[in-house]
Amino acid sequence: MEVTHYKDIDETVYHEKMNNGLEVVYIKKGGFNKKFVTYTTKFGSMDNDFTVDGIRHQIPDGIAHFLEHKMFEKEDGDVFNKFSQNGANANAFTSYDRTTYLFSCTENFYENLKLLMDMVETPYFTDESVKKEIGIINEEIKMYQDNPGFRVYNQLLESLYQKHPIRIDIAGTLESISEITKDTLYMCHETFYAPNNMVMVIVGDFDTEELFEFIRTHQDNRNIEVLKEITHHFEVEPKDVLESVATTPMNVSDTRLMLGFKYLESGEEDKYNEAKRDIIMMFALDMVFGAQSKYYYELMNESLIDESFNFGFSAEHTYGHTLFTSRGSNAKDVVKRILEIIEEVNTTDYFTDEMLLSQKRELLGDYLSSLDSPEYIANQYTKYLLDGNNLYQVPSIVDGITLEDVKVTFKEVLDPKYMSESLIVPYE
Amino acid sequence: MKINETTVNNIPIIDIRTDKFKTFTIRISFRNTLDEKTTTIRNILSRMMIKRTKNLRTETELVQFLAKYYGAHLTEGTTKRGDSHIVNFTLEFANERFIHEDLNIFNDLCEFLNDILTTPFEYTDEWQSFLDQEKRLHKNKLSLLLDSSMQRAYINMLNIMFKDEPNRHMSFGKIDEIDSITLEDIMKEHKKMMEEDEMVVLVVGQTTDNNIKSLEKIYSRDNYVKLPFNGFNGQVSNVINYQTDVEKIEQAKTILGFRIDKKQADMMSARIFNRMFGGGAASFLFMNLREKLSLAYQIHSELDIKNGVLFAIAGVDFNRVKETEIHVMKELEKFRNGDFTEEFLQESKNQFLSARLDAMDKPKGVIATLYGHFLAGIDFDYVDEQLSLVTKESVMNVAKHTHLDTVYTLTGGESNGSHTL
Repeated sequence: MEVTHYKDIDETVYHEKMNNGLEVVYIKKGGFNKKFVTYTTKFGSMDNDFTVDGIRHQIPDGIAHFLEHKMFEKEDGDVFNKFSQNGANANAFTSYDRTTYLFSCTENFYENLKLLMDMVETPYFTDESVKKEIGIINEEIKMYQDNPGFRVYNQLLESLYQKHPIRIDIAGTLESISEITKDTLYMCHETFYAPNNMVMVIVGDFDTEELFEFIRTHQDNRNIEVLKEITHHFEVEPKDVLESVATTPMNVSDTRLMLGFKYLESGEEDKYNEAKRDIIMMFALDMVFGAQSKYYYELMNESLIDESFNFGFSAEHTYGHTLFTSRGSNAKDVVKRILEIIEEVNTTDYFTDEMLLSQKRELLGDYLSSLDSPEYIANQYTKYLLDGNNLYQVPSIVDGITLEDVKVTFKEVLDPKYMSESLIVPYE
Repeated sequence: MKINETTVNNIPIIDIRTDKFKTFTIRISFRNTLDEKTTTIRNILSRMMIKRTKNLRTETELVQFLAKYYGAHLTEGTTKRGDSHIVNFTLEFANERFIHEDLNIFNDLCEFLNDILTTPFEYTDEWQSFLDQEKRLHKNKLSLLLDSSMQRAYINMLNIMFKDEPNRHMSFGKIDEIDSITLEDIMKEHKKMMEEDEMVVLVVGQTTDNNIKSLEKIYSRDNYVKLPFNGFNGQVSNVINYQTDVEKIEQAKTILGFRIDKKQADMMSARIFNRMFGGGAASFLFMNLREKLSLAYQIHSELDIKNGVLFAIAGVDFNRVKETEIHVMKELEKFRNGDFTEEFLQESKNQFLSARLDAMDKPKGVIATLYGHFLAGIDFDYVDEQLSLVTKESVMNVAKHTHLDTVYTLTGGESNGSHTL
């Protein structure tokens, strides 16, 4: 077992790889009542085309999410109920690249941990239960269809990307989920829920040896075949966007705009630099468009934006984009001004050392505040770990960011040549 | 965790001392009776108060000031509780212990909070454009909220169920009242809030006696203000209201509004009943309507016990609205008949305790719990004692005194005749 103490932030992390390949991380939070566990497989909505054991599988869209729903149902009933009987709250979510099962509790921890491991490791699907789930998920899809924020986002991804599976809704469509059978579910489970494709993160206040011994014994008893090599197939995503403008009418009081700038890595960045780039972009965007900037108040005073104005950057190996959201009938003017501001920033000495220092201070304050939350730690530690990084490296990454990094990255990532507008407009 | 309640400058201070957080959170709460005439004004006022002060004259200056203190977060919010309207100001910031810079963060931010409260404004005409902007922003915030079809359904439901009762008002006010608000309205309400509202300061974190001394700088009052804390007294009716509205949406949102006879049902049993009925993933509504019948993806119940109101809320297919209503009533009937196990009751009580422990791991959860205790004049021992008195019979009793009042549906399809039951 590897033990790392981060003195500056007073956090201790224990890490061990089990004999079957499962990675287990324990983060100690002294004095906390709450115990929080995430059990994550590297199987998300993007993994819809892969080869395993020499056979290529092209599976229906939305299957990772469907599988997540189905894992809670077993021959002897619903596992939600059992967690509840043990005083725990259980949940799960599926993202583009992973599925996470989690629970939190303040009592009966080991019963709940066993329940979580058994639930995730032991599939049980029948034709009948698959059919029933289609009904529930279809209502979930419809619920999102009534949500303008979700619609404007999905429409933007469909416009920015030509081939990448990120353009497909995580839940799939009624047509795609109707194709799912119990056999496809079993195959996906066997492939992606193998221990060496999974990570467990535990946050709370435990006796370390007792905790690891419990997990070791459970995992050693599984007798499972591991190490199936999975090859993912992605069509190469062109740099160009598919559509520059997409519009859908909905029952909204005012127009919603989401403006996206596509950015694909030119070569393979190393993991550390990817994490660094994410933080640099967060800083850069905030310096230009955040509440401390002059531009924010210009836009606000011109009544072009309101408090719903937001922005963010998100990137992985195979995709990347910066998004701006705004609301109001003047979407065209907002786009025009954003482009002018980007141009102005790139052609003047806009960024200053003082701004960067302020960003660094703010981030460290927010970071400390996040470390008060076991949920945040478990979820973010998992994300950083799966991306090949370490959540507790954040202060040192921040330390190393220079003004030059900010200038260069801002210019490189926001290229108006690769831009799409997604609009949700009120019915006429 | 050590809780110490004192009064400083005629203001109650609740100091919650714990070393498990890396941050401090200070909450200042102002409470007064929910009044239709002032709710919207109080929302605009609280927005203005956190954006400019007499020392930090622009929003930029204020945001930059907070950034210097490692991104301290100042927020405002309004809520409705019982018959009260509450305005909260919350400041979260890092504990100096983790920062390698010589800053007296706690003390400086207490002085800053004084600046916020005694703000703004000379209330001269030059502030008019600031007010206009905040009015525009609040209007946009409310119209954005109404873009959610579930939220529209909920507000329509309140207006039908509580026709002439003040309980129909939302804590954030009304969009059509914003335009007429003047600087003078804001000024009057500010003065009134500072003098007449019940004010409480709560702080959670690794506080020291010096920190508590700094809290004195936040504000000083001439008199100690304590206001009564009650709920609205809605009347149980024998007639059920039905209304269905049609809009272009993909999924019907249906809400069943119930009134609980508060004289007949005890509050703690009602809380436990709500958990069992529709409060979570193990509840009857979730297990039976969602998991067994696949009727809905969203289905849950919400309780406002202080006002004796319970809602069952669902997102369902257009053609299954009536079926949903029938099944919600069937689940309620099970509780009236005692058709649930002692084990499930015990689990729900344990979940209640577990949720409380869980809340004590979050600074804002600690504050919300302790503020609730302050309002009700209770402590943890009292809550434990009340919980131990909840029995199968007392839960059945709550269900028996829970009466369907209104069924509201916002649908995108044809109404399917939800007019009789």
